[in-house]
Amino acid sequence: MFRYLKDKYLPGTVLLVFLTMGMFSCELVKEVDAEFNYSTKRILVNGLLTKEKGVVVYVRSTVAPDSMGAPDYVYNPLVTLYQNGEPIEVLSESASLPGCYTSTASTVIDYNSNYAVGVEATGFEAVISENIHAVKPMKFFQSKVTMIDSIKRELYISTYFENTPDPDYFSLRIHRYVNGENQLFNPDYEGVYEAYSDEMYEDTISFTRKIDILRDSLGLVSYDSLVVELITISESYYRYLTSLSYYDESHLDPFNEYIIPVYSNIENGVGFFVSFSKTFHRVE
Amino acid sequence: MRYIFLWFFLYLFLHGNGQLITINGFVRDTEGEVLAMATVWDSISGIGTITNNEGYYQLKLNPSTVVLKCRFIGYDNYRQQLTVNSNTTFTIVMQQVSIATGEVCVKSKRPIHEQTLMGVTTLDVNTIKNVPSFLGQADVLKAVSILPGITGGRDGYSSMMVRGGDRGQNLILLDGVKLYNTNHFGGFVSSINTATVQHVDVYKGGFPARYGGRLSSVLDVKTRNGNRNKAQGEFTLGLINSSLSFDGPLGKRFSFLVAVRASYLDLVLQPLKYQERKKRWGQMVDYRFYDLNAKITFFQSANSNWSLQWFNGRDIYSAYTFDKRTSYHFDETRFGIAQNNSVVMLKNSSVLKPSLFLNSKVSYSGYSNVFKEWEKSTYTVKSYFERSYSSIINEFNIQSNLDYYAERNWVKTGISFSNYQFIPGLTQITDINDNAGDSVSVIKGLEYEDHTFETNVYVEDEIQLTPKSKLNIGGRGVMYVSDSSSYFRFEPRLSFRTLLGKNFSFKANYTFMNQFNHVIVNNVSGVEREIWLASTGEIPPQSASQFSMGFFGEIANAGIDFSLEGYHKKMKNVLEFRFPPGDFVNYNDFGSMVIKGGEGEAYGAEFQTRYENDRLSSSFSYVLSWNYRQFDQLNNGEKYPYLYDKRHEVNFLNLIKLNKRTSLSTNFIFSTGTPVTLPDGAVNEGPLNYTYFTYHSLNNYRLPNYHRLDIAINRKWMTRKQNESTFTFNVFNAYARQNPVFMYYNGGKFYQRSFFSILPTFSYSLKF
Repeated sequence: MFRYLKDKYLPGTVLLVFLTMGMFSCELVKEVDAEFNYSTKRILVNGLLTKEKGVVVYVRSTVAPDSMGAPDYVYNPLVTLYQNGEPIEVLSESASLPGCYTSTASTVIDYNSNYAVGVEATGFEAVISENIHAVKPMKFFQSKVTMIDSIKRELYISTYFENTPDPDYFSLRIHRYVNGENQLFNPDYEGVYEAYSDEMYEDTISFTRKIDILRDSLGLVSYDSLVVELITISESYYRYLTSLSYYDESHLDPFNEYIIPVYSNIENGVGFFVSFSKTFHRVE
Repeated sequence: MRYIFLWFFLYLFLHGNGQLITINGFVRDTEGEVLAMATVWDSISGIGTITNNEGYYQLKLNPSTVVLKCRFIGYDNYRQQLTVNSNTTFTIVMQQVSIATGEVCVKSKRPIHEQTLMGVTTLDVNTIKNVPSFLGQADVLKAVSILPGITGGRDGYSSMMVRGGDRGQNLILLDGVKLYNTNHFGGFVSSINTATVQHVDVYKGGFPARYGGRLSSVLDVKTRNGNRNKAQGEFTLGLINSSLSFDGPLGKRFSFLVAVRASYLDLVLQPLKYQERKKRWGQMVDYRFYDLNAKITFFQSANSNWSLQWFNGRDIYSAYTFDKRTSYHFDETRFGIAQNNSVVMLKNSSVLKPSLFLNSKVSYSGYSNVFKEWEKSTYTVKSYFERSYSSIINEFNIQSNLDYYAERNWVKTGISFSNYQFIPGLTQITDINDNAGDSVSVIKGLEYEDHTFETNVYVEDEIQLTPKSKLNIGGRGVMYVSDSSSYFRFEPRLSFRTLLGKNFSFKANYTFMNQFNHVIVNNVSGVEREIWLASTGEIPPQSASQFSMGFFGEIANAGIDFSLEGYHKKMKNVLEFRFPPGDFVNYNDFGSMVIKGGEGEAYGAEFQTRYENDRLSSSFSYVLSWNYRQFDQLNNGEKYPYLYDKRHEVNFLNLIKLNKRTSLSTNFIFSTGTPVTLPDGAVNEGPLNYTYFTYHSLNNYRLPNYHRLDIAINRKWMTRKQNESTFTFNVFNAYARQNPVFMYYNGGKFYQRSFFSILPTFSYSLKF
């Protein structure tokens, strides 16, 4: 009897046990030993260009990937501002903010010029940014609040751009004021948008976005007013901000065959030199 | 250089015709199916040839007694003695290997050292079915990926990367018509239904002039005609899909073949859906695919036949959330992907004269995919928002191919015209809100369309230079015209073989290829969407030159053959894409995502040996290779190892006949880990930024070595009604190796991610 069972069922049973053990013993994610191929430190530049405030540049260095938080101060860098390819000013370090270099009040930013920053420092390869122009502010076209019922309101915002080069990009945020206090409203639609050109939309200069405000997101608290913050940003700023979200998703996505690094327009270095312009619009 | 080629070719083409007689005809099997690439020869004179794509052969011999032999993979050897004093037409009928003998084989019946071309392999349907497979489904592309020099991509995917090329550089032909998409199920199942396949020719190098349009490989799939003698069918039950095929005669002069394959994953998901519906809110996923092959063949005469063929494959995937919990509240958001793949062809094959064979086709091939997302609400206000991105390619083609058989030459020439329509990114937006009748908008825009025309002319000649030496020489001229640009390219092709003794040979070849249509792949969480682009002024054609040479031999008595090939391939104007992850792109962003002007270089050596006897058929291969890319915009302009660069690769396939009914297949794969990109720096959080890693060098790290054993047991038996049944039990990754496909650094630790552990599956098929 035993021999019969052994002959008839043993191979199948062994196979079944083997498969079951295999299926349940295998983790698809596991910790492994590995080491980074660490490259040399590079200069990190985070620079902003605005018509109103001139140039602000933070200069630091990259660190080893497994040493986040390690010191990244760059000693005595030479930070130069270029206009149309010509150096116009050596930026000075802010007394209150170490590593922050700003242009002087006498430096007038011209909408029609291109600007770049270059940084040299001992122990680092010299870096220079991409040439960018100062972007112009965005103007509002229309806004209205429609009361649908007691629990739902709809806010329509239409905007248009004036004399800004193509392509244009903008960021949009809603600030909610309750009892005079600013509460940054953070609905799904907050983010960075690309304003499509007239190839896609027939209304050539305006970009219209409808925003629904529901009870779930506002709560039952009434608010004093809404302030819509619109930030016009340069293409490089748009690329940087969108690449941040792509990077967040790509470097942990097993289906992605390549990493999308965070955008940089700093030659030989890391970081960005970008422009923006901010406007506010109050909706009562 | 090109004039030297032309003059040389003309000299050989006009080379004399002696007073010889002709034996010509078709090689068919017992079902009337023609057999392409079968070897036919007279064993007395040693003069031989291979059949063309329509199974036609012609031999020029001295009038005398001949012993005509023929062999083809999957069929018993053929031998017939004839006395011929004048031109003779003779049909060779081959007997398929029967279930009783149950032969399994990995070797082509044609001696490897005798072929002029190198880098060419023929796989018949039995071999494809015997290779252990993923999900238990016999799959052409996965079977092909066990060949040396071909990488199948990630675990489970039906991809194909050949000798350093990328997946968009393969010419996939279904009976000579381009197939623009070969995937179902997000890439896990190929769209070529094995039930319709007669055999597959795979070219990795040494491309003859009749093929063009892709840089790295040709996969020429031949489907079978319907059986001319009796009606028959086959039903296959698989884990995620089943297929049914039926073929037979229609009167005396027609035959038909219909094969349908469909998935039933959506049926499996029904219980889960039922639960969600009961709750009145939740999330649901739907997935289904099908494909249909239909073919009618009209045998007009012994020398002429027509066939009308239709292939259609479709995938539909959708995921949605809904909420019906209250009577006044209904919200639904959904996104879905659909793809459609079609081929329609009318073909005629005619023997005009014994020495002239004409093959003409009119065909349409198209591929489209749509990503759509929509939101529907009846919550107080009815509203509907829909956004879709579509990508479409359509090709209309007309071509004629002529084979001319001279005494020592076999000349193939042809001309082909294609009209392409590309719509890579069509965005449509619908926004309807019926609140007081306002806000109703339908935006159809961002339509970017290219129309291109391509003309191909080729001539190739297979020449018996000396009794031991053969040459396949040819050239292909391509004119590609788009709205913004036009390109003319000449592509020389040269293959040479000389026998070294009776059983060994040396071969060398040079090919130059161009690719005018490019594919980019948008992968969203494992679901792939292919987008085809034309060569325009902005995107120039890719090109590749490949030189290869090797030694080939056979130890006939021992049942062993071997090949050792070395190759060097240089590619220009290759493209890279950087799509955002987890998102479907529209054409508006292509400019920033397509990286142009790259160069590629791949070189290596491939060794393969095969052994065969009555009970065992084995194939062992080892590949040593290097594969690089260089782009000015990537990796600081320096070259970097390409995605599937594997220094060492070993494949060991065994097909063992255990008894008359049962066979066991094992396939062991080992390869060096593929390159991945790990960070080489980091940025601390600052006033204007969050913390993130920096990546200055691409593919700077290698995953651990990859190895895996797949096992399949096939058991065949005859039912009471004498129908052949086959049960296949497959185990993918039999020893549950955790092969990483991805590696990342998180929280101070490294992690690896695998796709599949051990995966047992089964399938059952019944022929009736």
